Amino acid sequence: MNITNFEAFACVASRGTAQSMVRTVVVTCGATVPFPDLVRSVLDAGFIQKLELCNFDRMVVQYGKGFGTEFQRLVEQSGMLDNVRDKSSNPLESLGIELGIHVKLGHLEVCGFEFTTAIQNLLRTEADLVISHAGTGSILDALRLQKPLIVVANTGLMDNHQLQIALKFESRGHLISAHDSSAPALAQALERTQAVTLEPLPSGVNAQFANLLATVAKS
Amino acid sequence: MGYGIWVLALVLLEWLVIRVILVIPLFGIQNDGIMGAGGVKVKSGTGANSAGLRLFVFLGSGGHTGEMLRLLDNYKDELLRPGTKLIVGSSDEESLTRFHHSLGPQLAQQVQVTVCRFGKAREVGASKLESVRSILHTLAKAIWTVTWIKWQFVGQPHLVLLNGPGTCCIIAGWLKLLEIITMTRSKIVYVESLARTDSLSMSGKILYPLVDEFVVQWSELCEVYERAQCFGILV
Repeated sequence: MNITNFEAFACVASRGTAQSMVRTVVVTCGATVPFPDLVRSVLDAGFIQKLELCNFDRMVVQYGKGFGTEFQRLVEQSGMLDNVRDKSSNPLESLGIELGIHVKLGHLEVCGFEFTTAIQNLLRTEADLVISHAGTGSILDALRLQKPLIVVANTGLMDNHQLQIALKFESRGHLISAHDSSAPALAQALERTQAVTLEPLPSGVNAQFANLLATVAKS
Repeated sequence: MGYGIWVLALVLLEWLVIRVILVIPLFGIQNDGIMGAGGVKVKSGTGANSAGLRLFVFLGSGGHTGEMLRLLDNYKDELLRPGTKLIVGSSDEESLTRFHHSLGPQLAQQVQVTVCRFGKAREVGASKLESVRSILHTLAKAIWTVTWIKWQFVGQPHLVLLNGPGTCCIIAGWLKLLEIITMTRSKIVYVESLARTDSLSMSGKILYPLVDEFVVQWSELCEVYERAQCFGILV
């Protein structure tokens, strides 16, 4: 796949979340370990055009602790920097999220911050699509809120099974897994989200397991 | 004189072997209720409703903590009823902060929480020598704490819920040893991490023959490991 192939493809337009008419994609790299490849890919000019084509108005990025300067540099490098927004217009203020960066890249509004404990609230109220590393916590956060999800396995981590996790969830139809962390792979995954209906994740509350806990406690 | 000691040693050894066979679930005897047949343990079955449950959970940091908090939330009707005495083990401050945040004020009122601190058994990616050293250090500290926890549990309806990482092996191992020696039950349920899709974690492999119930979250693992039970994704 390469970028030129995407031009022929048109995203299905749909409205934003109930709370907001702005269509938002939320990107999370994991709170503790930065994922530079993913950040680089979501700030890629081709990918941003792709998001615009899919009628996204805003991208919110949790870039991880200590990655702020690098994020700023990548934004400046993207060559799409339109204007720097002033801090008084923070759209995530009500969630208690302080932005490290707030700019426009082309037509896309980009909000970046290091880390928030309110990630679930952010996803619930803002996200029309989630792009995340393939950590189980982040996957569950998005799927439990029934948000369409693209995951990118961070394969550079030790003792971490992101690729297997991503493929396992994808094989059950719960999410889309990007083939790698490159911008074209991510754009292709975005295209796939438009083409398929994702399976909702069954509830974690299981009567048999509840019964097992009660039985063992009483035994 | 010399014979006497040997006979005593042999009797002790024999008793130990019998206890090990009775206690370690791998031998398949425990679940058949042999301990209850003596008429001593059966009584506690009715006590579980009247007396509050004593529950120990270990927050293993990072993803382990995340999954454990989700388990506690999903199964709060079974695990966090009013009157429950909850002992929380943890080796990092962040896990405890997340725990208090996720418990919420309402549950905090009806559940009595005690916090026990543990050292880390093995840093992810640590070398073998470092691992051995830190395991020994953690072992000494943990043994005292686990013995205290065991003391809280004797004669009470109780449950130990674990999901990794390494420190769990020390906790479960020592509890099972105390079970062998003291002739009292230690009821341990282990839930393997959701991150393990086609093989068990190191803690999982060690605890597989030891714990009372071994639960995995991907059905494919169930086919490989006979003792494992699967109820789908629980977190």
